[in-house]
Amino acid sequence: MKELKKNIRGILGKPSTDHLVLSPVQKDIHFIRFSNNGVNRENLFDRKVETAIEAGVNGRTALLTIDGQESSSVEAAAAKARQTAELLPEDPEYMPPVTKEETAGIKTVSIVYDPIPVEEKYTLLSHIFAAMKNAGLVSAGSLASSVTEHAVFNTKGVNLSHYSLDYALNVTAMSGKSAFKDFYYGSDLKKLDLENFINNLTEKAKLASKVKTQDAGKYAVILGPDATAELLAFFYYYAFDRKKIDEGLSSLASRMDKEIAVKDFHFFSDPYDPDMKVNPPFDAKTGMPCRRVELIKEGHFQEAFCTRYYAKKNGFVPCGNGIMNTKYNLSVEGKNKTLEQMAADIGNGLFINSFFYIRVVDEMDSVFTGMTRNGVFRIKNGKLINAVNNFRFNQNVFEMLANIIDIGEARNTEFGRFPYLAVKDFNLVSQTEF
Amino acid sequence: MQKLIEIADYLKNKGARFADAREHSVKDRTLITENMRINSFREKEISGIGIRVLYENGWGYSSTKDFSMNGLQKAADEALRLAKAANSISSEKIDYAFEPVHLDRFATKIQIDPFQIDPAEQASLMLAASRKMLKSRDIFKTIGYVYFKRQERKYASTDGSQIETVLYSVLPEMIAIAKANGEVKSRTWMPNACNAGYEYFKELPFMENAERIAAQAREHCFARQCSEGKTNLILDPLNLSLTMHESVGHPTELDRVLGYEESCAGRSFATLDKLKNFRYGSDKVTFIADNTMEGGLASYGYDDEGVKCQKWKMIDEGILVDYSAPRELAKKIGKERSNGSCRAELYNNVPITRIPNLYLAPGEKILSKEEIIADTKDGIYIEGRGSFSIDQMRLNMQFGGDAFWEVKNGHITGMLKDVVYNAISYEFWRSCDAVADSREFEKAGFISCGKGDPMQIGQMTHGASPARFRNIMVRRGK
Repeated sequence: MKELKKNIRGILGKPSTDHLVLSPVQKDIHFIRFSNNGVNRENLFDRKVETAIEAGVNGRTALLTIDGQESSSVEAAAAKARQTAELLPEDPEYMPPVTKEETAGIKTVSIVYDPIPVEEKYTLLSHIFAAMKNAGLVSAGSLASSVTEHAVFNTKGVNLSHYSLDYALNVTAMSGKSAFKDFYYGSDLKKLDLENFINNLTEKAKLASKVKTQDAGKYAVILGPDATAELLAFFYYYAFDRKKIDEGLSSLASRMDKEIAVKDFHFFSDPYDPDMKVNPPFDAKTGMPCRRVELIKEGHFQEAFCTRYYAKKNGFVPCGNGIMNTKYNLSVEGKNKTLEQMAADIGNGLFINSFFYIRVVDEMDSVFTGMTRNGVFRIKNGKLINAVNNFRFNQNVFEMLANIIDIGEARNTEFGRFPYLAVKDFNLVSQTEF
Repeated sequence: MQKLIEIADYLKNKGARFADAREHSVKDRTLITENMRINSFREKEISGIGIRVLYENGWGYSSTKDFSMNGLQKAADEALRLAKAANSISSEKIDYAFEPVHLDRFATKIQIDPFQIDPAEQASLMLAASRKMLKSRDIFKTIGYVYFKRQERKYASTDGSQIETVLYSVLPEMIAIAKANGEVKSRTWMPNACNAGYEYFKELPFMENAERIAAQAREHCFARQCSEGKTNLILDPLNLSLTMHESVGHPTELDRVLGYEESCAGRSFATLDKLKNFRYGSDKVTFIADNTMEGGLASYGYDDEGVKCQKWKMIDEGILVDYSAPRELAKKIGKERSNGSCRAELYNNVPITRIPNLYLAPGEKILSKEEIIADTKDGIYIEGRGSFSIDQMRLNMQFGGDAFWEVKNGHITGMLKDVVYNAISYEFWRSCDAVADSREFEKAGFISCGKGDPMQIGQMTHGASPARFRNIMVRRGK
């Protein structure tokens, strides 16, 4: 990246195209995967070094990606992108590059990071393995740490860089066919209270091992932050594309003016959330700034994402460049209430820790299917008393949002920050055998 | 190749029990059309060397783009450092199955390299089909998609194997979306994705299928809602390809069976105690794994552990008889040899257990799809792929489809909508009572099978003749 930055003016200065956008990324990953209380084969170092090169000629664009950042390779790829663009038909949705003025408000991060030494990570895992063995449990999961730099340079003077350091620890503790999973996502692994993490994992995994049969049906449930996050991330991906809404291809098309959630459900995307620095506050391909977007507030749809072209065509305030560049900055506002307090209030029902294999069933009504995973517990008289078998759900998300009865504390997850969510009449349609 | 041999030897001299090095270059091209516009044109080129090392009982992996000996040694040292760290907290003994030494080259048989063809020519085929679809009544959107990939590998190991492979893959797809009768419905044409050259793509019947799917997308908008309850299903090869992928292909991956995938993709109900005695399906159900299949997406010649591709039975007349096994896990269950199903997406990915080319063997009795329909009093005929989901043990599964027709008294009586079927996987395969013969056998390739952590994308081919399943629960996908 350093060599490319040094030579960037020379590369962009060659007037061979109408426009040139270079978006290099460098990501250093140390990934440790484990299973059966031991490290397995996906125990690796990886340095991802890529540069995407977009060339525009006479209203045509082509995008080439190479796995390098040497100036000579980037120049050669830029020439090839230009030649390729010339072969394509004129694009009626051609967009010139983002200008320096458009990116003026972006606040990038250049952190001085303090990654944990390699051997310390194995020591941390050895503590987890030992605790699991002592408890008669088997652990599986991964510890990933990555340092990433995203940058965008173009012929309109844009020059952006953003750094991030993030850790992801996922541990599933198993007893026979039963399991419970806990996780940590954040930029400072030292903030993880390992003893508390292990205690919670052990306690819940032991409870998960006592499985009683429970029939499928509609239940009051508390969804864990992981379950809430995954289901709402799917909903976001399928529903919150402005162009699809206008074309009648999104479930929101027929619900624009209707109440779609309880009043205190607040769903938004914030690129400047201090606890979620993973993604840059700009579109990593074009440099278009991202901004805070309110998706659902006070029970109503507020705004959706679109490309730069679509925003310009329709007079929308731009927000990045499409739906995908914001997916990890999603949040649902949480409240100051623990799982135990929520269980006490709900009285009877189920606690679902995670989901698995969520897929859309009916995009026009946002009906999703999926399985429960890694811990489903019966709540009786306000307490988690035993585990039950896993279920398949077929759930209309709008019905779920209207059936929210309580919102708990939020945690960082793979998809952003999401809370415990208590929902009545959650539609569990069939059981499985474990 | 010489540097790969040297780096494997370098690690052996540093105490490695086993090491291999894989130079892996991938070039791909994606072209997407939306109505009469090229929505996106992308090309990507990735190449580098991945080094895998086993030190005592710990594996380590590192990769580099620096092809100099100095760069390779640095990556090798990193891999060894991780292997030693893993070994220091290891809990199990690691061994790996024997494989003969191979000195060989393998390449997909192609006539035309797709990367030598102008993208505008490739787009023109899809745009012509789009034009035709957009002229059809109530079609307001079309999507065309084509993906070309070339992979080149060089592999050397401390076993002494030296292997070079070159693979070409093609994935075409076309979608028509209709708006009518207050509904929005689509229909997809998904010809077989396979290992082939540009000549395969060029000869595909775009125009006749454009007309067909446009008409069926509109018809789908006027389709009747299905009834809920148990009924008989007749499934076409494309629909079956997804069902067998999820409910047979994944459960028979040995890494899942032994718990190595618990934290991500999940485990399997097809545990070792069930091998050679578990009734996975009816006696009509035989599944063949065949990584030697001509044009199969998993027909790599050799896998990424230097194992020659093979053909074997996974399920024989309904009984589970084998797994897909990498070298380490094959040894763990006492098999003499891996069956060559360990592959990596890119140079920086660790090779993992992968579903092979896997197909449902055609019925031996002469039987057509029409004869199966004629023999069905009540049921639903389903074509294409739709919604899909299964639990982490691969038991509770739910699938949709792309188009559905009601069958009454041996005849198709009209189109249905919003059909999903839900079953326990082995009960589903046990309910199979008819498989059409080899005249109706079709292959269906997958090029986006996600697995592993970090996630990798894998490719393989499935196949089937149309088949019937009795008393399967159908729900409304609403």
